[in-house]
Amino acid sequence: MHIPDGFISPQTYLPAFGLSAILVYAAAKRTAFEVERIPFIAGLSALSFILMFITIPILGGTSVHLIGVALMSVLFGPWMGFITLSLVLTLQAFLLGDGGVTSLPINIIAMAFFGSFSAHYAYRLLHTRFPKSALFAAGYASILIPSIIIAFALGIQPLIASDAGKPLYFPFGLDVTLVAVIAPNLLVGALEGSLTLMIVGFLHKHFKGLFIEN
Amino acid sequence: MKTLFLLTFFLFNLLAHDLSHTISHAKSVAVSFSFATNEDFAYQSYEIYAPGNEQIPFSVGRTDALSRAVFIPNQKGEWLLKVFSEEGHGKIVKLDIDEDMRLTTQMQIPKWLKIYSGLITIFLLFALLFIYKQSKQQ
Repeated sequence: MHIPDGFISPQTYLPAFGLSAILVYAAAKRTAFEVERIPFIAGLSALSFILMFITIPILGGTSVHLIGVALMSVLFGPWMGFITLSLVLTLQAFLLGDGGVTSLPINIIAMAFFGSFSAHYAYRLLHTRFPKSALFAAGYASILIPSIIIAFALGIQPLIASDAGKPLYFPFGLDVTLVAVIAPNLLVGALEGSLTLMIVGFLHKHFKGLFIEN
Repeated sequence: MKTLFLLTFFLFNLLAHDLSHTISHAKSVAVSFSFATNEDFAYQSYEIYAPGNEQIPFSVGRTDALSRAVFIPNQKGEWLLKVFSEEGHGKIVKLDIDEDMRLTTQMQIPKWLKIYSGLITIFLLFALLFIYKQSKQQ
């Protein structure tokens, strides 16, 4: 789902840099890294990093991957999910060249912010009556909502940055991206939902007390 | 004389519509793309830009069945290869071509090394945070 370098215009990524910086600042103010939780947070951040490297080939010459942000969001709260995934995305962009540096703020806003908060609210909405479905829904929402944001960010590029009708950055419009980006992620959402259900279920059972109750 | 002129004119006119072809073994550059397997970026769009001309592509096309973009450079310098799929995957690759139209060696970091270095960085950062928080607690 990462947007690479060269796909996003400065008209988009410059304001996005500002917004993502504000969100990271807000997250830093709202997250408390308690000593006994840090090893779990480190482990889940590493898991998220690995999940994004495991690509699942799909029809049409492309591939998809899981994110793992719903795990952190459900277990430690949405701001913790946001800040840890932002760290992982930043490492990927600067150290490893996966996901672009110019597109980093869009990736942070879409995957880390909307991914984490959509997981949080999906879980909160359902967890009192359907606890297992709530975990699945959290994982599903953490993929689906960011994919809509990414599709929108890519699809508006020809509208806002073209030269004599030739797109200067990402060339496909909303009519293409809304289908091409969201459709594969409808399947990935189910995988992410299942993974969230399994791992959170396991951790709640064996390490009860370490996690916040949403 | 007039008839001869007209015949010659029409002869050349006919030849102008005869698409000729030549076959060469010129040095080509093939760039392969992959996520996990060699076929998973097949038939995706690419644009190649010659050095000093980032406005008009030197070549446009789609990657082949093995996810490769292939072109024959005709000048030295930094060539730019852009690949992109409709769902937002893609890459911009810079290719340095020397005066013999050969690709100069470019270091590529293996995927496993990227994963290890990323994991080490994550655990190192959290270890430092752990030590800092613990020292503040005491």
